[in-house]
Amino acid sequence: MLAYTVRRLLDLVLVLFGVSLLVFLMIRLIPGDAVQIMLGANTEITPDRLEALREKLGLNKPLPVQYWDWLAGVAHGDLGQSVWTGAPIRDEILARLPLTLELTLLSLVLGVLLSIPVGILTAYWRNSTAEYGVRLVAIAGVTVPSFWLGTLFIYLSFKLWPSFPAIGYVPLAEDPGGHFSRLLFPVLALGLPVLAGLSRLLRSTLLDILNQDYIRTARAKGLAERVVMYKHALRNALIPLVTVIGIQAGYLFGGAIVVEQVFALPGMGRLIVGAINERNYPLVQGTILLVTAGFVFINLLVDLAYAYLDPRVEYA
Amino acid sequence: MSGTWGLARGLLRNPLGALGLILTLLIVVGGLFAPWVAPYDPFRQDILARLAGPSAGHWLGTDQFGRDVLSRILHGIRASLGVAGLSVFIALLIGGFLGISAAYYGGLYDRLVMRVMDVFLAFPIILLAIGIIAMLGPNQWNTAIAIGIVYIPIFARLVRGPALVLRETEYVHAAQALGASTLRIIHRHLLPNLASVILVQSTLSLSTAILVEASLSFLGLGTQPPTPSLGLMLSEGRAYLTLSPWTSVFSGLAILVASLGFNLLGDVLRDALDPRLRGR
Repeated sequence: MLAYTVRRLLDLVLVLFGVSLLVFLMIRLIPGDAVQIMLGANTEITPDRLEALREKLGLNKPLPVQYWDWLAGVAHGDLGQSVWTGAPIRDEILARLPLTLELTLLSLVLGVLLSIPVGILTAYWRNSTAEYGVRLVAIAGVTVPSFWLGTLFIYLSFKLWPSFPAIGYVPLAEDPGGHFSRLLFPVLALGLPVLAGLSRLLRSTLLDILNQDYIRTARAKGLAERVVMYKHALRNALIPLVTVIGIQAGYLFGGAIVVEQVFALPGMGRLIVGAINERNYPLVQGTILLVTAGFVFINLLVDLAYAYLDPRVEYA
Repeated sequence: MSGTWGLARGLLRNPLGALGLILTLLIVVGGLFAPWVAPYDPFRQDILARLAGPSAGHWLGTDQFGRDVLSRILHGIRASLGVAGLSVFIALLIGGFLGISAAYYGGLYDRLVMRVMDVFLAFPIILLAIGIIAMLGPNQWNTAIAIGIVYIPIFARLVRGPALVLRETEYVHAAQALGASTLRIIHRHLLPNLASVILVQSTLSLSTAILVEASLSFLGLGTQPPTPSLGLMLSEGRAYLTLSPWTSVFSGLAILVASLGFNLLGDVLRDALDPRLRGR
């Protein structure tokens, strides 16, 4: 286990190095003069302004020096400054990140928690109609666009309950009830597709497990079906569920960026779309770097948890 | 089951396969022939008939400029299929090449290629696509390139595993002993054996690429107005949601149907081509 952990950590360092290099090269690989494009989106281009911005972004130094300076800054938590406001990028991101993380986490919890009863229930339906029905609903659930679901929720709540605050944002500290009621629809819109995918996975794992010898033995010795399901089958069936949580979190974060726009929530979505529209490349860079690094760590934790939970996993 | 007909019969015998095939055909035919089957010009405005609900004249209603929603959806599907198709093609071509060559040559090259693929896989899909679009500038074709790049590692990984196994088979060794060129071995022995995994993954990738394209267009980072695009229509319709929800409702439904059709098809194809997975 220790050797495995060390090897995964080395992998992580390599991947993070690659990620940082790609993100760093982003501005440098822009076709044409990035500085001119950035300036042109906002002010008149003059040679002085071009030179000043180039200087500010460190683009007039040799490439390896630029990378080293940038990396050293990142290591100290300095992601640079926003081109237009001059505010530290780290602060702009930290101001928006909690809401998006909250959305991602709540949707993940909703999807995982509900997928357990749904997975168990549907595992007991085993005729061909149920087979097709479960599969159709699961696939439809995975392919339904969250931003469409959210839009439908807004419309339906407007029709059925016009006073319900479906859109907008209230900070948690100001009014917890208002905060969470405004997150209800976004979380449902994001969580339902997760629920569909995870339930299907859990059901098919359960069906495999319920066919195994040790389950037949458990039943043969007269254990209650409840005990067979919860103590013998479900515990093993949850392991594959753990492995996909990291991937699901990545999808959810991407989905949250889009769904935030539907509900006018001031999270990472608005930040990054705004940054692209005003050609604020350092902000786009910082966001992608920080979020991706976060998911690399989450996936490492998931892998380690998997190896810990399932002794059959080979560390070699 | 043998050949294309056997596969098609197998698909149709499964109700979900039949449904997937029907939806996909509807979407592909409707999209490809949009200029001929759409009842109206998708750009023609009729300001007096704006924001109308479904009627005999406009089956799916009209948008905020009085443009026919059905016609715009059909053209939107066309654009969406173009972007999704091109992106999967890019990913398949480059990813397939990288995966097969990594498996075939092995060694340092293999390790290097797969490491780079790992780096690309570390990014959340939408975020990497957004980053690439930020560099290239938002428009329809850059969206296709961005999604294509994001999907490259998926195809590289997909073909590398089976290609590693195939490389060690006796018939490939025999072909090598006979002096067959690398290209010939890849073309005659590797690709035919990889066809089924590639077919399944391409179909499933089309389904997700349609969703990613719609998300990016919804954010304003994909197809630009006034070109009809499903994600963009859904986004624009939201401003008039309480007056007339039809634009948003139907364009979103079209995204769902298009993505669902390809996904069902891919799912059932996987069963048909890999009997071990049947029925899950």
